[in-house]
Parts: sequence; C-alpha cells; structure tokens
Amino acid sequence: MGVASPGFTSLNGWYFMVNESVFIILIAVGMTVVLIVGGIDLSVGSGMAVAAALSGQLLLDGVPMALVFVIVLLVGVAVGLVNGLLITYVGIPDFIATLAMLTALRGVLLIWTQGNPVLGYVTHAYGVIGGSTKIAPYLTVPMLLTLAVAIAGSVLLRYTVLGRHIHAVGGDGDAAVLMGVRAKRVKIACYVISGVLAALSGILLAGYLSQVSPGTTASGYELMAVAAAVLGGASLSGGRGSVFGACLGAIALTVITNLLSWWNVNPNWSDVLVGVLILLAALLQRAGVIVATRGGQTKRPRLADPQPVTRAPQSV
Amino acid sequence: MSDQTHDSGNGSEREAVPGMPDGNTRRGFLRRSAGVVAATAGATSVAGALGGVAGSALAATGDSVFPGNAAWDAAVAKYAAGNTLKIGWTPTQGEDFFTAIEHGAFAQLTEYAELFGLKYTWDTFIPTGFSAVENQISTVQAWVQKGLNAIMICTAADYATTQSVFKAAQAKGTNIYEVNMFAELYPTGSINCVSAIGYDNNTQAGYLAGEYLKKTLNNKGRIYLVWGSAGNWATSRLAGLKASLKGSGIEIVGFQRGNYVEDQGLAAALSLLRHDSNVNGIYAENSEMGVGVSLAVKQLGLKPWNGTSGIVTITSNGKLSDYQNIQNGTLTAVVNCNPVEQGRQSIIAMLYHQILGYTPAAVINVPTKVIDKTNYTEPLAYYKWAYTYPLTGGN
Repeated sequence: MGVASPGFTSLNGWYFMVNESVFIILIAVGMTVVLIVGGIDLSVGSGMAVAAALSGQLLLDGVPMALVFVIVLLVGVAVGLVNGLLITYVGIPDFIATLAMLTALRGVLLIWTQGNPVLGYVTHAYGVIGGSTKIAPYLTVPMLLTLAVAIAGSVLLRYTVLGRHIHAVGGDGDAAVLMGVRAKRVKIACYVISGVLAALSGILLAGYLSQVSPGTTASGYELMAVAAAVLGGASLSGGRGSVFGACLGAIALTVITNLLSWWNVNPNWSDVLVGVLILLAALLQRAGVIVATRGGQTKRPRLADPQPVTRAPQSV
Repeated sequence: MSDQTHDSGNGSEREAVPGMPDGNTRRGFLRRSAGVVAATAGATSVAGALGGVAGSALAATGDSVFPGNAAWDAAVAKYAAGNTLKIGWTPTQGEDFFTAIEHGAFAQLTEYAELFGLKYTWDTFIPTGFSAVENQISTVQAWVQKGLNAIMICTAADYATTQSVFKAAQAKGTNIYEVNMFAELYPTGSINCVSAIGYDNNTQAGYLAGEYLKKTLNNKGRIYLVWGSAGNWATSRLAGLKASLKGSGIEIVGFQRGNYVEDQGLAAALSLLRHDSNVNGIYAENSEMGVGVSLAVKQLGLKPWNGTSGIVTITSNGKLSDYQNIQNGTLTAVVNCNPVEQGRQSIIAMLYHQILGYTPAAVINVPTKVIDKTNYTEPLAYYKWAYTYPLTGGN
C-alpha cells in the first residue's frame, strides 16, 4: 500500500489524476495571471457553472457545437470585461467586485434553470471533448487543451510586452503607470483572460460530467484555483507567479486527495493538509521576500528578458 | 373506509389536472389524500395510489379526514377569506430536489386556491451554496420583519443557532416549518417549529439503502461509501445504513467524501475504485454524488449492475435525474425521499394550522421507498405531475 504501490504511481494512476486536475489547472492559470497583476478573481467557479449550463442548454436547443463554444467563450469574455471595468473604472476592490460577480452569476443561473439540472445534452463527441472518453491511451482532449493553454500562458507572461506589463503593474502599479504602462487596460486584459479560461473550463466540465447542477457544479472551484496558484508560487500581493507552478499546484491538490484516499485516511484530513500546505507556501514566500530584502535585492519578479516597457512615460 | 366511499355523493368534481392520470380531478386528488388518512387509521385499501401518501400529516395529527364535499369547502372557505398565507421558502442550496419540493407545495396551494379561494404569496431565497447558512438566517429574520406568516426552511446551519432564530420568529408570529431536515436526531420538544416535515434519514433512507444492498447482493459483498459533507444528514443516514448492515455479509471497505456535488463524487469514486475495483456496490449519499459514482464506473470500464452481476450503485434523493439514470441503466437504485410529497405536506400542515387553527404533528414523515428499474414509473409520473404546476409569486 502507499504512494509506491503500482496502482497509484502507474501511468494509469497519473492519467486519472491529471485528467481530474485539468479543470482546476485552467482556472488556476487565469487566477495566476490575475494574482500577478495584483488582483483576485473569485467569480471563476460561478463562471464555470454558467458556461457549463449554457453549453448544455444551447446544445439541447440544437445550436451547432462549434457555435455553442464560441458563444460561451464570448460570455466568458463579457464576464471578465465586466469584472475588469468594475475594478479599474468604477473603483470597486477586486475582492468585492469578483465576489459580487460570483454571487450574481450563480443567482442568474438558479433563476434561469429554476434549480433544475441541465441533462441529456452529452453526445459521444462532447464526451470526447470533455475528457470522459480518451482520444489515445492516457490522453484526452482537455489534457491537450490545458497543455496548450499552459504553454501559451507561460509565453504570454515571460516573452510578451503584455506579460511584462502584467508583472510591472502587479509589482508596483504606480511605478508602472509612471513608466507609461496603461495599468487599467492591462488589468482588464487579465480579468478577460481569467473569464475566458473559466468559460473554457466550464465547457469541458459539462462534457466530462454529462450533467450540470446549477447550485453545485464547480462550487468552490475559485478557492481551489487560488490554492493551486499560491501553492505554485503566486503571491497574493501581486507581481509574482508562474503558470508552470500553478499547474503543479493544481496537480498537487489532486494528488494529496488521492493519496489520502489511497491510505484510507479520514477524508477530513485532506482539507486540513491542503490548508497547512497553503500556509506553508505563503510562509515560504514571505521568508523569501524577507531574505531578498535583507540581502538588498529587489523583490521584483525575475523576467526572462528584462526590457524597458515600450511606451513612453505619460506627461504629468 | 376507502376513497370510493368519499367519491359517492360528492357532486363537485372540477376540471382535470394536466399531467394527472385519466379520470383524476383535483377534487378526486384531494379526496385520495384524505383517503389515506383513513387507511393509516385502520383500513389499507387506498394506500399506494397517486395521492396515496398525502394524508399522512393528517393521520399524524389524528384529525378527521377531509369531508370532501361542497359544504366543507364552503366552511373552510370562510376561514380562508381574508387570510393570506405569506410564505417564505429557503432550501440549503439551488438544486432540483428542492425545486421538486417547491412544485409539490405549489400543487397543493393551487388545489387550495381553487377549492377554498385561499390567497397566498411566495418568497424564495436560495443561498449560493450548502454552507452559506448565514444568508439563510438573515433572510429568515428579514422575512419576520416583512411580516411573512409561514416560513419553510431546510438549512445546514448550526442546530442551536437555528432553533433560537426559529423561536424568536415564532414569538413574532412567523410560523416555522422545517422541511427535509433531520428531526430524528433531536428530541421533538426541542424543535422550535410548527412541524418538521420530511423523512427519517436513519430508518427511511440509510437503512432502506442497506436493506436493498443486502437483498440485491444476496447478503454478501464489499461496498464503498461516497458521502456528503460532515453533518446531520450524513450522520443519520450512515447510522441507518450501518444498522441495516450489522451482522450481514456486506462489508464497508472504503469511505470518501464527495461533499454532495458531482465532480467531487466522481473524484472520490475514481480514487476508491482505482485503489481496488473489486467491490460489489457503492452508496452515494445524494443524487449529485451518485452521478459522479456512475461516471467513475463508466470511465474505469467497470460493469454497472445488470440484475445479476456488476457494481450496484445506489443513492438517496428521488429526483427526475435519478429516474432517468435508472431508466438508462447508469444508476441501479435510489431511495425516493419524496420531495414532491414533502412540499405538499408542508402546505397541508399550513392550512390546518394557519387557517383552521389545528395543531399538526410535530414531526410529519412522508413515505419513502427504494426505486429501481422495476418500479420507477410511479414516482416519475408523480414527479412530472407536480412539475405541471408552475412556480409563481402567489395568486
């Protein structure tokens, strides 16, 4: 028994754990981007649920699958845009704005469905897209999509102007503005990215589960996304984080749960252990910052290719 | 006594109710409800009919049966005149089990509105999740201030807190009706409500599931449990299951929490089954987790129960999705906790207490039953019938 037993560490064992993790990984990537820019997006769980229910219902209504996915992703864009606008232009704190969005989206979903689940929409093709059916041994469509998103997210954050601006705004927003970064636009872009990834995750989850319950589907996912991002090294105070780390964080959460189940440990200990790990991750980050400060180093994020921002400073 | 007895000489049949079996009218439906009171009191001839469970609340009170004639209608209508039932309804979370309760309530309210001219308003508050209990409590307090005279509530909030809030509400004239709670776990006198309408999670859910597993698996086998969040329902159902399995050849070999949702139920079942798929049954404590369990069985290429072999999957709730899953073979069985009937019984208790001034029983348990492929058509038809009554804000 234990982590070394073939069932747990076999390729098949890892396949199931990774396939189970992809929904969290997708929103954790979005959450990481938002955390780096200095925000937090608590609406992702409800965004996933709305996307999942909308996908199912539109398919039941006979809308072609490709069009369904486009519509749902656009809804994700809209949710992110509203979050971003509320935070940057209306001035509502990130936590409050996205918390309100979390509640509002779930409420809209409950009103729309009257609490009834969306059922009977899953076709074989949608099952394949959702990952309940493999496309090759140990491989599903969500795994491929998640890999693509993770690579794109890493490239975005490390090698693009927007990525550098995201780090700059999250590291020191005022300084970034003085350097000519359009901080509000950058922040809105981050929330749009998070909204789209939540919608994508919702689309996949609907195919995976074959049923969407408006009150419970993806409930609490926002906290798992935060936990995965923090475990992966993202700082809640902004300016730091990594997509690769978020992926590992999400997988770690799944592995912990599975491992405790494997050992037949009381499942309540899983929550305790995850909580302790998050605290440890936060403490390690804090210790790292303190060490860096004492050593006279900057706490700015390490960028692959530090370059000056591309816009001239605005006149004051 | 039977409902045929009541049929004779009534002379006030109304229009047929959409979705009801041929020959049923609203008046007939109501009388059948009453008929079961008589059945419960001694006779048994009418039990099991469509409305065959509806009178159990009245039976529990020991009140007389519905007279079911125009004179009684007129007498009740006099009580109803000038009274408006201002009802609030707040379940633990938004899910179709609670929507079914709501439809059951509306079926009964529609009946009473037609027969007695009963006026009612209906407020609903659905919290964002199972644990969002603070919002429920503050909503109850707001409804008391608003002047609602009856609140139907199902909450996962701390028992002592809710009871003090309920006590305060009732002192201000807002009557509380607990619905789908866990009255079996507390002394009847400690519950501050007019009636606790529901079922016994121990003897009428967990125990029945255990009995079904024993019968289906010939009293021999290994089972997993996929359970909800720690709390009263989970505790009571587990106690019932264990009581049933005690001394049997059925062994519980694994336990994981799915926290009452599909994906976590799926994750829990995958985790258990990957560890050891040599099991004969899985009991998921609610329907959502049951969906996850069924998906796990499918994803791992295991064989669902086919009547002679495979993995038996059983859950508790009794919702439309359960019956559909039983129909398509992905779920073996469900304990029908009779949500529609819980809604109807709540309104029956309200009429008796709030309009007619009776004292209903403190605990009103609706009948429950294990449903599988052999008998799902009856509860499915009843469920669909209730859904023909739209949810509104009142009349």
